[in-house]
Amino acid sequence: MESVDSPSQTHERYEWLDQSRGLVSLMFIFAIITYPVSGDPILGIDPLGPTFLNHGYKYFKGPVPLITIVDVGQQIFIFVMGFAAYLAFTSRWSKKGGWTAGLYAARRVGLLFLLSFAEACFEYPGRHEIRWNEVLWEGTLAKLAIGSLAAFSCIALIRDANRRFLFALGVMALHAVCYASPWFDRYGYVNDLPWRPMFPFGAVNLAVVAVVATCFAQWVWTHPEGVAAAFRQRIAPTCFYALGAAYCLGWVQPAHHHDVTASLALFAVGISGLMLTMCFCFGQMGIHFPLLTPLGKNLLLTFVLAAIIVDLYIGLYDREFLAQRPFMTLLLVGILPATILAAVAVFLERRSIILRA
Amino acid sequence: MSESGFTLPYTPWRARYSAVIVCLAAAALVLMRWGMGARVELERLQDGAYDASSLGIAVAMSATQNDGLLPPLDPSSGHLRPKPGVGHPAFLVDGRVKKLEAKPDAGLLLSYLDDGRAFTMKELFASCDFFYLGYAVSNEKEGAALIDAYRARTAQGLGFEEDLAVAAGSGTLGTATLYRLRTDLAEQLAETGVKIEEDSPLPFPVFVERPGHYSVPGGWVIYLDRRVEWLPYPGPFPMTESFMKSLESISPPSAPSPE
Repeated sequence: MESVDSPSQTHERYEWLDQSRGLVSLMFIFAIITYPVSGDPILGIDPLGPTFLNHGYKYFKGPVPLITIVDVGQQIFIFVMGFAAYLAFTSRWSKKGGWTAGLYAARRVGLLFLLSFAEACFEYPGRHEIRWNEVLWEGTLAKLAIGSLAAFSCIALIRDANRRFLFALGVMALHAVCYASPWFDRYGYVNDLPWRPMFPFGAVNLAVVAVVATCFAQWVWTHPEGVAAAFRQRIAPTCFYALGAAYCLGWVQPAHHHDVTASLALFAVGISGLMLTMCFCFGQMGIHFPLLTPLGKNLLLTFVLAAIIVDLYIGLYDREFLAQRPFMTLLLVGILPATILAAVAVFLERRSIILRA
Repeated sequence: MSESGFTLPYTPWRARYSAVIVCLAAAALVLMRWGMGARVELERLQDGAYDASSLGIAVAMSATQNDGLLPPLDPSSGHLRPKPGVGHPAFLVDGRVKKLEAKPDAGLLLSYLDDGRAFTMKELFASCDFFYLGYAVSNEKEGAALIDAYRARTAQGLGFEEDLAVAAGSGTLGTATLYRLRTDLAEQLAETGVKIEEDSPLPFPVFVERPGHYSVPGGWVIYLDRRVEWLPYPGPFPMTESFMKSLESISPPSAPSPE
């Protein structure tokens, strides 16, 4: 971990980027909060809290899954991470050389895998075996690690953003074909083929999303007419094409959260790009949400704290107690954990502490 | 900005890139179309195996309530299926799902709703997809004896509650009796001097799927030890041509339900 809000900082911070990261962080906190109180509609246990801020699969798991905005959250998270990683990686390379950039990339990927290992060890204390598939490719942190690795590697190997973008789309097309084919087992156990080998569909397309994010970043930071022109000429049109493609593809290969089908990945790319555009435009217009910047600056820390502590905290409450007291539940479950996490983020920002890999 | 000489370029978008994307999308869609067809066929095969497993579980649950005896054959002519209403094949899971009173022969099928905790009720023994044999037969000769006995008893209006006496050597594993399917059949046969090796799979099919459901000729067979196997058609017993034709002649796919 390091603090980079210091004279050794390799690149300037962009307020609009921190705002968009903060927005992702806030959405993630809400998703973590609503997850354990989703109830069980099949057994007649009503969900608590806003269902649109929870995963669709918490309410329905079928061959064609129910998708909410939270089901795209992981992909948006990795997109924003890939976008920012481009800046961190290339600024190190240009200012301190390839070795420094390479070491930074290795440290970041290594730390994410280490966190993934820690999550596998401590998330379920009663479980005595380590599920290596979760540590290496199925867990959220493992997917972030793989996404980071793919992003750094592709920046180094395919330096033309347009060609890198085409490469990413090629992998996405291959993913769609493999997902449709009878060669591989999918996530879940209905309408899949258990005697076929598992394929890490989710990890692959999340990596693709991260690579696409580096292309977006390169278009933004290298555009000769500046950032605004890049958003106008490249980012916004690409996002609308991505959303159109996601809509069309959704008819033949529906979006799936865990397997990150091409339609979901394209939807995430479109939504993420437009979110960045929105935050950039807000920045230009002087619109600024105070809480988002501190949350965005410590995105990884917020992510880890929310994933571990909030879940444990909500688990302390009796469900019946919460169900009978909606206003108390709003306060104790809906607001308090988010407020505490925001307070921690503000505390760290005021002391210029940014913890990241 | 580039102290190390490292720079990344900005290159304008070219028409050929768009052409590449269009070609990529077209190729992917064509391949997906092919892949989806093949996958759907495999998934149908798997669904058949799930159905076979559910049937096996349902009759096994019934056996737990009937001293190990699997349900008797339906005595009404034209349906090779378990006798309706016998053995209450619907079963409870954790007391959360109740038996469907209106349809006592509907079984619970696990579905994929909400971590598999949802259940749907389905007529398990409709006899449109599977033949239920009711008696322990392991080869063509024993199968033919079962067909003959079935025809004879239904013609006389008799039921299938008892073991059936047949010609010597035509019964279960070469005995003179066709034994009803039961969970302790191996022990019962051992008492008559017919031994089945402990680790060997039981050769007695309980349900046999009608061939012709899939693009690959064949069907699923569930055995007394609840293993489910895919057998090609024509293939080994019970998926032989003559035995299947005999079963089809007794229980045609379009046979109207007596209810």
